[in-house]
Amino acid sequence: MPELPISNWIDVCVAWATAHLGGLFAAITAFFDACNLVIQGALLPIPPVLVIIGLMVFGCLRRRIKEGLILGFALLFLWNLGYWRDAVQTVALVLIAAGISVALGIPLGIGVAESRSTRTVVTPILDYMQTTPSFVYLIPSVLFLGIGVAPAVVATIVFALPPVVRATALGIDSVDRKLIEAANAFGSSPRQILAKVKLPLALPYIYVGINQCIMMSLAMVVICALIGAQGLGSRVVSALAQADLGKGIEAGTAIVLVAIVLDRATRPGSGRSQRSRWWLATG
Amino acid sequence: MEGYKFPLGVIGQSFVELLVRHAQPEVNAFVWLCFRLDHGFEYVFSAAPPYVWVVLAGAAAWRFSNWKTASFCSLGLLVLWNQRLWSATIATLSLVLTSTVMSLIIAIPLGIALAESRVVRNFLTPVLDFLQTMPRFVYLIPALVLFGIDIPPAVFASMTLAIPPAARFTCTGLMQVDEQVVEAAKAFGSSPWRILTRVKLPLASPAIMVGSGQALMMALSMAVIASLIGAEGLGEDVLRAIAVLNAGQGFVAGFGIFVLAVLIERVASGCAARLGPRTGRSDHRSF
Repeated sequence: MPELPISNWIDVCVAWATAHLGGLFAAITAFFDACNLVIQGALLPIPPVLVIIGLMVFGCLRRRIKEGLILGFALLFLWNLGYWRDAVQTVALVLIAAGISVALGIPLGIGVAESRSTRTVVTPILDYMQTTPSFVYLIPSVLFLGIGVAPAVVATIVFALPPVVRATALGIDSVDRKLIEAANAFGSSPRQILAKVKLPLALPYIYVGINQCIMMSLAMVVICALIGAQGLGSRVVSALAQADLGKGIEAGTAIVLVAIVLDRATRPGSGRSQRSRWWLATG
Repeated sequence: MEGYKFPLGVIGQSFVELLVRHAQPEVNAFVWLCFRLDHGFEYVFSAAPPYVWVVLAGAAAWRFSNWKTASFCSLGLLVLWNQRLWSATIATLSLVLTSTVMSLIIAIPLGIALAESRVVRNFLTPVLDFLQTMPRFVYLIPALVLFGIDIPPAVFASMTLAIPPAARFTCTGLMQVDEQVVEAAKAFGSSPWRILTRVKLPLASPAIMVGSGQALMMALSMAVIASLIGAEGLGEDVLRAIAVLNAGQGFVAGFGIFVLAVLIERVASGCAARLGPRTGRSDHRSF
């Protein structure tokens, strides 16, 4: 049997989409570029010392002294290695992608928990999204949006959305039935029950989901260096390309440090959420 | 702060050079094992014509999942064959299986140690946590440095990703074994070794299967990324397509990875679910 010209069909489809939906893609690109410029512009001028002291105080107040010291040490090390600028660029992309994922994921999670039909549609899609290796998401986003920040953010959102949706749905599902009945008996409307009973009780789960989402965003943003995202990932890619061992170790360590800081700064505290964190990570 | 830069790169470089100089036999043994396993799998997959494997994969998906998955996977594999991607598919699959076997060789004993000894658990849990939080990209660097390019570094990077879930599931499975069953075995005079191999491990096998499925998925996602350090397979085609913005090739290769992921995931989770009831624990949840 001869080779089917599937590649050609896809090329035609992509060409058609680029020709007819070009305006949409340009708008998406412009939007994410603008977001990136604004957030980078806000974060880069802050002197590193201020950020370090701020996060140390934050860590000490929120958890223990030890937590603050770990954060401070990791950031100082990052600064000393000379990767501050790249780290800020990476974190800016993580913030954009995670922010949009959370903004989309929480309503979607509420929908999954509240409506049976949404659940039957969304759950298999989430399953497939989590089954697909992250690398595959790069292809459509780079083909439609070109090289740069926008395709990186889009691929990252697709990758980081499932944990938020799952966590929100799981949190709402696990609210005690008796509490909802009590609220019902006192005459609360469904809307009030959702906003004043279910969501507050689901918050620990949602925090876990957000933490997971941020960590997955970081993992993806780094890989997105392959399609032109700036930051730490591009340093790793160039080190891999030149087989420069020293540079690779330094850039890799910088990513590890950023991961430690992001994880510790956004990780919720209690033991219960730690356990469900593992559940979410494995799906 | 500005004047002095901690010479991490230099230190790391000399450490690795030291390691390469003094641990050469171990590194060579690992490389040899990786190549043997990988070539073995490739030999098996090339031994029969593609349609045999398409039928076998479809049958496995039907048996362990449903007819929808089976028809999707068979059709997907036929498309890959038709698109001249069969050898790349075989390369990816062999790499995934090699990495999974190597990971399980370490992960299952590790899980047993985690379950049996509190000291090991306290010491290793933070390490496993740390390994799981890291972005997977990072693992490529030490792998590249220690093993050069090609299959061994890809296997090493996959192992760092696949060992934690497999070890954890083994540990959870062993710890969930009913105390009373262990007591009964003890009362009949079984040695600790017999209790472990004849009582605990069989009862924990569903959890171990789930962990192995997780390890397979991790190995697949890493095998694709590892094309950056020269691993052959579908990831290589994706990478090439991204580099030259070739939409058709990229989508077809990406679709191939997706088909493999669905096939592996469904068959592995179906296997784990089948194993569950046979051990007689109806209350066992599949996490």
